[in-house]
Amino acid sequence: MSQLSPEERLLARVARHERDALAELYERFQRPLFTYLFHLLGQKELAEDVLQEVMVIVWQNAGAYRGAAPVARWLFGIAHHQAYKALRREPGAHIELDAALYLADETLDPEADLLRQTAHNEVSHALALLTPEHREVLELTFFQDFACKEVAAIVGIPVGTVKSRLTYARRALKAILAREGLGAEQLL
Amino acid sequence: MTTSNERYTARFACPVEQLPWLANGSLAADECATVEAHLAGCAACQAEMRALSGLSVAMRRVSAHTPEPRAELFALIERRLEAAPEPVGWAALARRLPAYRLALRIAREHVAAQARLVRRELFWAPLFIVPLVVAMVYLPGPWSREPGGAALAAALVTALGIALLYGQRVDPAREITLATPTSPGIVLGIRCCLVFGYDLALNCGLILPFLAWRGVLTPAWFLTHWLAPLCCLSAIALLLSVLLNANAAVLICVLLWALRVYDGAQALLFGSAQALSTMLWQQRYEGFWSQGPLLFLLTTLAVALAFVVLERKERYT
Repeated sequence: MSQLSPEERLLARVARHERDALAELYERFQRPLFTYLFHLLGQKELAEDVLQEVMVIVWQNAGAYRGAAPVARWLFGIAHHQAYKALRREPGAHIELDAALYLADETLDPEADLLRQTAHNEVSHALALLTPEHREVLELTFFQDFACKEVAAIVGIPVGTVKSRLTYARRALKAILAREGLGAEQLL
Repeated sequence: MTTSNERYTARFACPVEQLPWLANGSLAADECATVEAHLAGCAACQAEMRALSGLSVAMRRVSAHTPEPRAELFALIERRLEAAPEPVGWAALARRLPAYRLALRIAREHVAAQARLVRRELFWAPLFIVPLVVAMVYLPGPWSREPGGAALAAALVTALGIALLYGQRVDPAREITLATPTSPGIVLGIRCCLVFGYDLALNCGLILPFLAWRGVLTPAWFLTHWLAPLCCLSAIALLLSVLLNANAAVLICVLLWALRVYDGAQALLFGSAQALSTMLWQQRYEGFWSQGPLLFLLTTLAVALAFVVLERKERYT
C-alpha cells in the first residue's frame, strides 16, 4: 500500500466531512491559493469569493480525489476553473490588479508605504497589463514554483504550450516594462 | 572565429526551455544535473539564468505584498457549507436546471435560425420517394415489389441534400459564422440534424412502416440495404463538400451511385442475356454497399473527419 502524504491524509479526512480537517487544509493552502487568485483576478473581494467557492467544492468533492496528482495540483486545478468562470462573468476584473496594489497599507506608516510601492510597483504595474493567461503561467512558475508538467495539468494545456506561453509572457512583460520606461534589463 | 550560423547551432542545443524550471527548483534531479553541467560552460544560458533569477526575485517581491484575505473568510465558508448542503439526486438536477434551460434555449434559437436559412428544396425534394414507393407496390412492372431501386433513389436524394449544405459559393450561414463567434461546426451540425433528421424521419417513419405493412421488406433488410448505404453516402457527401465543394460532392455521389445502377441499366437496355456478364468488380462493389456494420463505421469516421477538417479549415481561412 502506498504511503499517503500529510496533505492526502488531510483530504481523506475532508472526504469524511471532518470540519477541522477542512480548517487545517484551508490554513495550509489559503495563502498560495489566495495569492494565485488575487494575481489572476485582480480584485481582493472577487479573489475571496472564488476562494470560498474553491473550498466549498473541495468539501463536496474531496471523495472524488484519487491521488493521481499531488493535492496542491488538484486544488490549483479547481482554483483555475473557478477563476476562469469568474473572469467570464466579469471580463474587466483583471484591469484593477494594478489599482489594488497601489492601495495604502494601513499597517505601515506613509513613508514605509511609499518605499513599498516604489520597490514593487513597476513589476506589479506591468503584470496588471498582461493577459490573465500570461499572468497565470508566470504566477504558477515563479510564485508557486510548480514544475512544467504540473502547470500544464492545472491550466489544462500541453507541456509545449506552457513553455511557449511562458516565453511569450516574459516577452510581453519586457515589452511593457520597456514601453513604460521602466528597468527591464535586469529582469529579462 | 565563430560564424553566426555556428552560434545559432550552439544556441539551438541549449536547454533554454528548462531554465525557468531550474530557476524555480522544480526540475528533476537528473535533468537538473544535465542542465547545470551545460550552464557551467555556456555564457548565453548563464545570462538567461540571471535574467530568470531577477524576474523570480522581482515577482516574489510583488507576491510578498499581496494583501491577506479577510480574517473571517473561513467562517464565511463554514456558513456557506451549512447553508448549502451537498446536492444529491433530484436536488443536484434542480440546481442545474437553469443551466439546462439556457442550453436548450440557445439550441432552439440556433435551430430556428438555421431552419430559416436552409434551402426549401432540400425539404420537399425527398418527398418524391413517397409516390415512387407507392408505384413500386401497386403498379405492375419489372420493378414491382423490388425495393432496391427506391433504396438507391432515397440514398441519393438524401446525400445530395447533405452535399448542398456546405461549400456553396453563396452561403448566408457561412457569412454568419465568419462574422460572429458561432462555431462553424455548430452551424453545420444543426443544418445536418435538420436535413438528415427530416430525411431519416421520412424513411423510417413513413416508408419503412408502409413497405413492412405491405410485406415488401423486413426491418433487417431496410437497415442493411436501405439505411446503411443512405447514411454512408450522406456522410461521404458531407466530407466531400467540406474538403472540396458542394458541386464536387454532388458529382462524386452521382458517379458512385451510377456505378451501382450500371448493371441494371445494361440489363434494361440490352436484355437479360447481357446482364449475366456482370464483372467481378461490379459484384464486389455491390457487395461493399451491402455490408451494413462496415457502412455505419465508415459513416461515423467520415462525419468525424468532416467536422475536424471543417474546424481547421474555417479557423485558418
